[in-house]
Amino acid sequence: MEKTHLLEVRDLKVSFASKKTEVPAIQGISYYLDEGEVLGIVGESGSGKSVSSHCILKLLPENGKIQGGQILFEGKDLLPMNAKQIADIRGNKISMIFQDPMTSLDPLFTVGHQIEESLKKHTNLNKKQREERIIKLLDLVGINQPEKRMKQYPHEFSGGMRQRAMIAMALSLGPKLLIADEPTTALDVTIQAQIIELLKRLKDELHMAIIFITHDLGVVSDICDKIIVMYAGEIIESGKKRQIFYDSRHPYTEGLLNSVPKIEQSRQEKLVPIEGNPPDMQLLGSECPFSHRCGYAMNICARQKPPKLTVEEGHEVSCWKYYRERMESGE
Amino acid sequence: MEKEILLEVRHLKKYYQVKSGLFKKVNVKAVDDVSFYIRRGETLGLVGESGCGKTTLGRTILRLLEPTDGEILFEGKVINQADMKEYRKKMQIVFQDPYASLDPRKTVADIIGEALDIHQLYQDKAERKQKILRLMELVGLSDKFYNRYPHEFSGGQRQRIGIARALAVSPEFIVCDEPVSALDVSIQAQVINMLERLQKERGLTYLFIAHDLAVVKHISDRIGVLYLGHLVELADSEELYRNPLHPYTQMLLSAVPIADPDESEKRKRIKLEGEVPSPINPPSGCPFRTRCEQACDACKDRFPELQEISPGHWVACSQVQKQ
Repeated sequence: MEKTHLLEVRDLKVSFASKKTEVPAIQGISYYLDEGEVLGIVGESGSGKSVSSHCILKLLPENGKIQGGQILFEGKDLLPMNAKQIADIRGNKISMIFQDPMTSLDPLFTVGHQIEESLKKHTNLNKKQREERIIKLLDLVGINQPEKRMKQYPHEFSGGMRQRAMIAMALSLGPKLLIADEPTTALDVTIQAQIIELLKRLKDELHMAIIFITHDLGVVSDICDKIIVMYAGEIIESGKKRQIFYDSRHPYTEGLLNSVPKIEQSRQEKLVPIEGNPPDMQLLGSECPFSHRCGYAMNICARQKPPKLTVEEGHEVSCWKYYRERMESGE
Repeated sequence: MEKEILLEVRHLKKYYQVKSGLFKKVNVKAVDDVSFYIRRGETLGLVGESGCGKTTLGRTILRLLEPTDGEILFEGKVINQADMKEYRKKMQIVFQDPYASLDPRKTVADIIGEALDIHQLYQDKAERKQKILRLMELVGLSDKFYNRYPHEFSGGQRQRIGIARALAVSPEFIVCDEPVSALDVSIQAQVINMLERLQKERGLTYLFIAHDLAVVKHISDRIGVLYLGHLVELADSEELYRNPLHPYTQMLLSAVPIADPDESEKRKRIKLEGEVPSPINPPSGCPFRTRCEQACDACKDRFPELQEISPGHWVACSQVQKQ
């Protein structure tokens, strides 16, 4: 019997309406996540990494349209649900934190008030109990003097503290899944390290699953169990953390790993950039989306999308080069 | 043999006045008594967290901001405001935000050509065009982009335009203010490699400002660490990484994410606590003492001077200096 995953995305397709045409943003992606797991979604701007997770809570902008697929949460498909049903899940079982803690908090209300909102909506706690819960939550995310801090406004918080407050808000109802969309990108490194430590600790204490969306491979290597690499709206490689970092098969993943400067490297070692720019999604046809920039591109890459192949358990890659290697080794 | 000193900064200060309360004004010391030098052909990296004064320092050196006090020397001569037009040909800047730093109403040719116009670096139109095309080629932009506008380009290509513009007057010294922070990683590497190539080909000297330690370490010969307007450590980049002496440098290094799971598990993290205090109301004495594990009473009293602990390795920490 097949196991029910906490979250399973099947063949999700999303497009955006532009003036003239429909531009595809996500071209049929599938992945799953179990309880207590941390999944990293890595990709460059425009790769669809944010859109793919915003769909889970139906947070697409107006011109965005889900064209097909399923998003199963605890076995139930979220896509056919109406606004009210989704609102029940949002914040309650699945919650989300964003990149910019400054713009995702309302400047007109105290931080305590904003955390209280979801408690009011989803629980039957009375005012005093809610207050106790808020204090507990702020304490959990490492905000000192929670009694005083909950009465303050967002502008009285620093960037790192705001992100902590956002996390407290997201955790207020004990979600099973936390979607973190570039939560540390706007923060300084020392604060980023603090937030990552916090998320790691919370994951263990609360046993929740996290989807961590980022462009920073360093952050992924620290916190994630599994990694998905996205390019032009497709998953081009996915696997456990070590499979991706030490045994990557896709030239793009390899390129990404080679193009980040590593602090332990000596100055003499040159960076190997990926030449060219990401493709225009409007112009993409049936080719492998990376074929324009790939150093190993063959004739077939420009004609046909590569099939998804399993390297070993949990490690999948879509690439003609790997396909040929497998053929040649006679498997 | 060591090369000559191209640029030197002596006791540079830049204070901003901000209102505090109704009538009171206080000074925010964005850059406070910073001194260093850069040799010809060298890259000096400056790192620090937001609000540490790294951008202000870069802009003050180019006199885009007027220093409150201190001297800036170029090729041994003190730079005065009156001679700035001459110096603009020798010192240029590349900005962080490739979207905001290009005039959206100008074509690429005019953006790059503007500096040529101002300094009258051509005889006739044909020479102007030829110079611009040569600059575009230098930064890897195809000549078909000559009459295009900035909005038609991606972030990486815009940064190339910004670099071509800086190179137009054939400067000797360029302040690179977070030139790759806004770019995707695969594009970052392209721009970094290009900056390195241009340095080699043209003997450029860089002041490379960034918050990303890995990037700074990659490109710099020496690195200075800024904290709340003070230079707290300055050393050879390899030395700074292997043997960081200032507790703040140690904290920064231990916070850098490592894109390698085994390494990142092996690493011992120092306790990262607290945040950068407000520069409006900085701690007395050593600015880092509020976050420092080794702080003692003496740190409250005065800011420790930058001292050379070993050849070329400077630290401003009274605890380190004692040992």
